[in-house]
Amino acid sequence: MTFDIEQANRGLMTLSFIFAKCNYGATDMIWIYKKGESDVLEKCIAFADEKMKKERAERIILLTDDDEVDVFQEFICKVMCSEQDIEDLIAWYMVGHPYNNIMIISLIYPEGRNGRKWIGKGYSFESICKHGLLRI
Amino acid sequence: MNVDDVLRAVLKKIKKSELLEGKSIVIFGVNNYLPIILNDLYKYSIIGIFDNSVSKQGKYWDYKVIAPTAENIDVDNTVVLIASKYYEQMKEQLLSLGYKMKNIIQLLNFIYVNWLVYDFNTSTTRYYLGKSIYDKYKDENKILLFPSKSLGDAYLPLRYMNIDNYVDYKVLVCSGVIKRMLSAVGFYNVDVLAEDEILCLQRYYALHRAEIENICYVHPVLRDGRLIDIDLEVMVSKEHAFWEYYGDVVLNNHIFLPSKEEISFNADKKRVEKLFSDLSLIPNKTVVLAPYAKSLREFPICFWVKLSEELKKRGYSVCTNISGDEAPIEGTIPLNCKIEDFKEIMKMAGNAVFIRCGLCDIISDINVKKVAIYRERPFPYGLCSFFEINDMRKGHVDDDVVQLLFDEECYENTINEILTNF
Repeated sequence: MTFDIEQANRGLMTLSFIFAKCNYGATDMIWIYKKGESDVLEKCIAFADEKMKKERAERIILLTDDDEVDVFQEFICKVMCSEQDIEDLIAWYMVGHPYNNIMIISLIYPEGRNGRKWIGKGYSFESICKHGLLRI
Repeated sequence: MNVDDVLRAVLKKIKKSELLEGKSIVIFGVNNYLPIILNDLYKYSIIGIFDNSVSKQGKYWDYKVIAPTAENIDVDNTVVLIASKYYEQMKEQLLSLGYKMKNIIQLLNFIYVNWLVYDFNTSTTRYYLGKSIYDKYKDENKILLFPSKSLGDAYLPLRYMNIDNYVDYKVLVCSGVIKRMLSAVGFYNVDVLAEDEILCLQRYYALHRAEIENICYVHPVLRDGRLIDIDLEVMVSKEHAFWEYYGDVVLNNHIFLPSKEEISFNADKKRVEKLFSDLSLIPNKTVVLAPYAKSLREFPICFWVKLSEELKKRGYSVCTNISGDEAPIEGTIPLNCKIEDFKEIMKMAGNAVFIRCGLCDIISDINVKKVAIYRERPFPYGLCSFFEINDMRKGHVDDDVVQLLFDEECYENTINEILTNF
């Protein structure tokens, strides 16, 4: 993804809107998921409970442009965004200081970049998602 | 960017959303943000403004300002917008009046918005500093960027390189000692930048890696942020040591293990021999102690004093490697040498007992008796311990080194373990 400072700026604005819309607080986590990596999202959702315990979070706000995402866990609050919004948020994430409670659920964008090439080098997809991406 | 910009952007998004559709609007709070909100929402059905302060009640522009109330208001179809740091109290007050939570909107969450704006502005300033440094070097054909101040971190990559292929590169470092070490190895085009400049440059590089082709980043992880490839994160997980796969992953040169061949520092051998003679040190019967490390808490001085006494009883000369203001261990000979001569001195001394510091990496490819002592501390990434990540045997950085964990309960146990090697 080509980095663009204006886009990052828009991402911050979008995030502020999400904060307003979801009444964001200290016990919330934000997961940003751009459609196309449903296997990663599925695996992360499977570990969501464990991640929340680790971060002492009570809710995950899942921001996504994928209307096919089904979330059954009551502690995950799905918020639909436009493709542009998600790309802006990723740009913001890249330039802004990253926070423990905001993350990108991806093996393409940071911090999971290049994760897939390690599958088959002795790492399982599960451990890459759990340890590498979610840092549990 | 400032908080006003964020407020305008939030209002723009709210107007685009369904939140205000078919609803009347009340704004709670007469403050500096009120004109922005009124200006932005002038086409909407604003039925009034609430404020608890009697002095502010009355009129504001053409709107009536009253104390919060639910009288004559359809609370089910009225949205209350709040841009105030007293949001929590205001929300409670509205709920007690019968307003619905879904109709109370916090336009600015001050704790988080201030924090985001502040960090974003800092990040962007640093981004542009990184860009300006990169612009200075962008015409260089090839650059080796050493981001760390640690000698060991600068030395170990050399063992995964065919150095002859890299000596023409422009080298950027943030320490004069690293510059001297690299010059001793054969790099002649080395610039020393301030540490913060290196941090900004590496962050800029991290964001533009896909487009920047002339920088070779010489470290497994990126500092100043978590923009770290997952493969490197996994590499430093419990399964692998820090430098394992370094050549393949970072330098992309398909070198999986460090070279066993010694990296020569072009030392002045005569100077080293003179030093031994001047200090009356016995070749191969001298132990060099290195008690200081940047990344580890130091051991108690009494540990080193007792150890040196025991070594002397066994017929060894004992030196303390020092630099700057560091004091030698009592009863030992201070050794303040040039980095260029360090390996030659160690080869002549024949024995090393080091706290696990960068010097352990520098002598990892020479054949002397080496003891490295670790002190456990959690690794900042939280993935593994200091020992796990710096284990020199695991990545075959040094197959000969004796590695010990300092006994926090009884340091004599550590001394006894060390002495079994002498």
